[in-house]
Amino acid sequence: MKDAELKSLIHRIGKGDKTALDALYRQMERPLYRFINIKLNDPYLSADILQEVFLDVWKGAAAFEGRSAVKTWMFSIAYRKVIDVFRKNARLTITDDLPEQLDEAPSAVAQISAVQEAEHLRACLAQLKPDHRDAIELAFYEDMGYREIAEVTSAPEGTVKTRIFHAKKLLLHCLQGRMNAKVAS
Amino acid sequence: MSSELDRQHIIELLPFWVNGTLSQDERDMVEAAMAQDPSLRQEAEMLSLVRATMQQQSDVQSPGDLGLARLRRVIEDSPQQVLEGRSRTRRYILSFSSGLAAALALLAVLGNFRASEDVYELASSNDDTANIVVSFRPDVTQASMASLLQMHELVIVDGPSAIGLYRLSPLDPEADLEQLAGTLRSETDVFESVDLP
Repeated sequence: MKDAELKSLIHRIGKGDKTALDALYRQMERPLYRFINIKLNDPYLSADILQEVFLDVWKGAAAFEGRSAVKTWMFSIAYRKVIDVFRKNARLTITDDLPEQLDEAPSAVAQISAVQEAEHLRACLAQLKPDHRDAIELAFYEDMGYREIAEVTSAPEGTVKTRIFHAKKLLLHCLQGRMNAKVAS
Repeated sequence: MSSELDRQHIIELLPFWVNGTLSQDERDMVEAAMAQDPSLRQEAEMLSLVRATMQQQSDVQSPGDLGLARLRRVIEDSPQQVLEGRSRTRRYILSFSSGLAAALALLAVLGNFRASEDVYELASSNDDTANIVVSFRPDVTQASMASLLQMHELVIVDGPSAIGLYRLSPLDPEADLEQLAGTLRSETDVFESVDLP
């Protein structure tokens, strides 16, 4: 659904139209839930946060001015709620430090083989730090631009690019390591 | 490519070339760089593969219809606050009044203003008998004043006087002024004095 259509739904929700909220829910529920649950790894808590996001949309739709894309706005709400959960549980470590890693050029063949195996990719994504993973998930799963990701995560655009650069580097090293281990075993 | 810095910039843009979110100018720049540097093209292909594999992972079990049913129940219990008619007007009056109060307080502090009852007339009644005369504590914030006035549905209809008195009037003409004054007197953090004329 295009942003103009989503904005039309938000406009109707702002006037109290519950069928528009249903339509928005059906459109945005899965990507939002996926984004939340990837970060929290807790389906029950993630469902609660998802509901809070839609409640915020319900209550705040009348005040939505349309300066952001609807998707960006909703992911921003979800992101802030997840950060609140992390803060309450003292689970948050926001840092852009790049841990020391092997720096030799990964083998392209090994990388391609590894990337094609979803299990390896999932395992390597899970090893990324939250801010790196958020950035790469939003870029490659949600197809957001760096400006949108910056808005969702309240980070400067340059930081978003740097996070993805580091995330990609760590991801490829991880994938190479898993393929090397597979070959050796 | 002119420098390592430019190459780094292109590398940072590659993920967004892959997901198709770059502007036309940025896209042209990345494609020109890839045409000159095969390693950039190779990296873009790798990133495309990562993206495709990520998007194939569709094993998320979201709350679905159950979540929607739950959301509907909660919404029934907490209806949306849509400002209509009198409420909207009231909000504007309150907003204007609280903003005006802050502005007047500032002017009073500067010592250049002496309020007079015929200077202005605001939304509510100009009948003295429907007013409560108050003075605010010197350290009270505009936000506290506004919050309290909104809570009790009061507007400032006059003030500050030369000695810092304000006249408040209830939006509801049937409001019990004695009771309201008693309530305000208990707000000792905000009001220094509360009197009925």
